[in-house]
Amino acid sequence: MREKIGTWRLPPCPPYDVEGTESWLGDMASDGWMLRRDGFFLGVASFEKGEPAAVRYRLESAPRQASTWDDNGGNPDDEAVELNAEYGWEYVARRGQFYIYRNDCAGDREMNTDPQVQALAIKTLQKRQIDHFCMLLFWLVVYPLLHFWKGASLVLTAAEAGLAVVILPVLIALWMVTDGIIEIIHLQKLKKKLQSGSPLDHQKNWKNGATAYYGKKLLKVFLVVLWIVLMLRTWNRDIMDADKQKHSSYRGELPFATMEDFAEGIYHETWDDLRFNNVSEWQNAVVDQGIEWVEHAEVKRSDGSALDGGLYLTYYDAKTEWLAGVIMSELHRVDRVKAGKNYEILDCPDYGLDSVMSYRNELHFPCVVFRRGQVVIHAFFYQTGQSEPIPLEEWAGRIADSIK
Amino acid sequence: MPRKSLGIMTESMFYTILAFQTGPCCGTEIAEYIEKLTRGRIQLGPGTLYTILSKFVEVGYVREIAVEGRKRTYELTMDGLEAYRNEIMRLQQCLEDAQSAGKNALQKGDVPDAGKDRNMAVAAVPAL
Repeated sequence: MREKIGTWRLPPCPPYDVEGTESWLGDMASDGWMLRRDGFFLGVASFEKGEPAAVRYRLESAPRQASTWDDNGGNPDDEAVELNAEYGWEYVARRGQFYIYRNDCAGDREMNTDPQVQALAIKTLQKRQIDHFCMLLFWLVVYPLLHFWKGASLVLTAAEAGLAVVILPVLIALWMVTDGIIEIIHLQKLKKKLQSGSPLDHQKNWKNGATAYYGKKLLKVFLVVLWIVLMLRTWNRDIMDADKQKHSSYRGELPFATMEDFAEGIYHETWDDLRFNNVSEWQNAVVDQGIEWVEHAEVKRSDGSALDGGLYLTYYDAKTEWLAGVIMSELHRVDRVKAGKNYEILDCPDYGLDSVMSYRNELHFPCVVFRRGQVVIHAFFYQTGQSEPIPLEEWAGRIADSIK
Repeated sequence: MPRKSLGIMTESMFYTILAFQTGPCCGTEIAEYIEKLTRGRIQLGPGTLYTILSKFVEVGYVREIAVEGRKRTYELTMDGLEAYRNEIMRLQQCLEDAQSAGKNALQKGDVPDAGKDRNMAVAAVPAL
């Protein structure tokens, strides 16, 4: 059988676990697996087969931010490589913000002979990581909260796109923030240990906690991939109009009134185009039934007047009344933020429903949000042409009656 | 804005800045000088030396004056010289304090047995 000449391994500890990484690489070498030059790629280590040997691996924290996109490809300073090489320490690879050196001659001096000086290097790294953490906190927590305050809506998004699309990024963001805190605490402990004059433990039992680390790493990758797949799927279905169908193809029974109902007369759809006349239906963990109804039509009314207009209506049958209440308030908040200065409250009766809000939306069209029990309807209706428009009270009343 | 100081120097830092009293030098020359001066007692690791030089450049104790291939040569600045002198004074003060404490202890005869040898050794340090 041909002997294996190389292998890939997932490190058993995070990059900032200096002692764990050094010990693991040393153990791999004693099994004959030597880390390849630039052998870390996307968090996975590449090894080549060699003779089992006692090799010392040491991690040096990068004095400046190290990135693959740097001019020098994220490699250490030439002077550091040269100086270390003079004393038998060969630069091998970079993992995160640490440069990995190795030495296979037991007689050569250690790379770091003064723990307190090494603590200074760790302190520099820790400061940098705190800056990064603050930036991460801004983009993952503060910015979304500001965005939320300005009109983004978690429950509404979950009601429309599914709970997973909302929960997954929140989970991933919380995870990243927690990881950032753990890293800073770990570096703090490392710094304190070195400042007290204790050298690092190069023989740490890296197997402790390795299973938990692998589990967390795989789960995180799975969650990120799942979220990306869900987003792509949602985006793809949206741009391909995959969920939309013509009104004539819809076989369900509409639980609300449409233009045909409240503009009685000779009715025909204005455009035979899926973009202007369509219906889509869904259900998920937040709503038992959701229906989006887009309708553009002309109606010759019984009194001889003509009506040309469009109805955009979204129906939510939420799982609970509380969810319905939140969906309603988020619908209103989003419209109010979008409308900005054009926002104008309109008078509208309550039609005997639990809650009704009416206002002019960003397009300056009259818009109504109704709630009755677990059902919420968001609708706006625009009318063009020369006929007298149907007043808001009338068309909104027909929709309200349909959900009583 | 004044640059921050490194505060109290560790032994490695002190010997590194001391090496510059011989003139401009590069990393390996510093390590070799210190090893020779201390008769092998201090062998600076390359990682430690590089971190010290980076910190010294950062706080302005030394500056780079030449680059030859991958080798960089540094020289001491006035700030570095001042830091070196301050450190010498601090160490002298430590030594004087130790001598004074050792003499007093011997005169009183209250040196505890367990620490007797060590304190006598301190007291025996010649005056600077």
